[in-house]
Amino acid sequence: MHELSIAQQLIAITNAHLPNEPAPRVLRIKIRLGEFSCVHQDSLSKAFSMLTQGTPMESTELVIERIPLAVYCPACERVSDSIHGVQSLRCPKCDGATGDIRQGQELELEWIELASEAPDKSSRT
Amino acid sequence: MEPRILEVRTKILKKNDELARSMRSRFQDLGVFVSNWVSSPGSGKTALLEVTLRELLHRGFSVGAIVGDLETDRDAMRLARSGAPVRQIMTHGCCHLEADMIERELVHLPLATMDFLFIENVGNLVCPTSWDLGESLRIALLSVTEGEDKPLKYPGLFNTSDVVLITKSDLAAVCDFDRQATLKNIESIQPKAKIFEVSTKTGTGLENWFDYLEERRRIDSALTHA
Repeated sequence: MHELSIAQQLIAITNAHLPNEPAPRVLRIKIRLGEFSCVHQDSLSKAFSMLTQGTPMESTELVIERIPLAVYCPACERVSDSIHGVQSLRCPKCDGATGDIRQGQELELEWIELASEAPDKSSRT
Repeated sequence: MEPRILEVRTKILKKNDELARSMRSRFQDLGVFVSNWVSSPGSGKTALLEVTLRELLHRGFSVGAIVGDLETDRDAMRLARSGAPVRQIMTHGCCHLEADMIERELVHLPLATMDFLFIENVGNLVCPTSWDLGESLRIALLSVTEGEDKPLKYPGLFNTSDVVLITKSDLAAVCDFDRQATLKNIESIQPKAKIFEVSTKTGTGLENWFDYLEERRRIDSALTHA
């Protein structure tokens, strides 16, 4: 359940990026998640909503873009097409062994979307 | 008014990665060769680490270890029998070690005079994969009792490992261990991985393993101080 640690980091980075204004409201957070990142998407979403419960980010939506795996094959001298449903890291074209991953390990916060309106102080504590 | 988008574009584990990077250069400056041992529970990490500590001490090196477990200091007690300084991290449920957990233990170890630091991660084939601990060598252990398809089922760890130690080789025949399939599966995930087949019980393969560690430290140190 390392997704909990990752969600904690995600929240910390988001908080660190918030503008210096009274109670900025985060509508959405967009992350890029590689299919070979060893992170389970549902577990990460659950961890995020668990950790944000009762906080200003309670209703923030976590938008996750899945990035497929691609490897570089030294024999074919090219980066493979996307590999879905990882069975091995062999080149899908020539079946040569390669551990050289070029895409699919992403675990990145891409952007944060903030509500523009000034917060209504009476509705928030 | 429109909502505002703040472009961030940062790695979520950036803080850990940066700390690990600075620890790695500190280790290299001090001439401490650090390895991170990862495997499922029960693969024989502690037993192999215990004989490794003993042998390197016998060869005249200064060694130390940090060991992570959910609970208890049993592994630290076992490793400390070698005479090496050992620190136990109890994660209380956390399934992996992170760079800041290691950093907190460093003040308790004689780093300045140390040649090897071994980090025994929490027994888990998934979660430790994403956390760089500042190591120069990541070691995955796979015991013959676990089955040959482990590298394919847990490709993240095996892809990021420099070394795969196939342990408990004395049990290979009893377990109908398929050696060729195992080697092929490791190659499918990380063809550059250096593979050793060892038995802590009979001593098979251990000399090669100890020699390799010594050689890797020598190369690492030559590269750093070139």
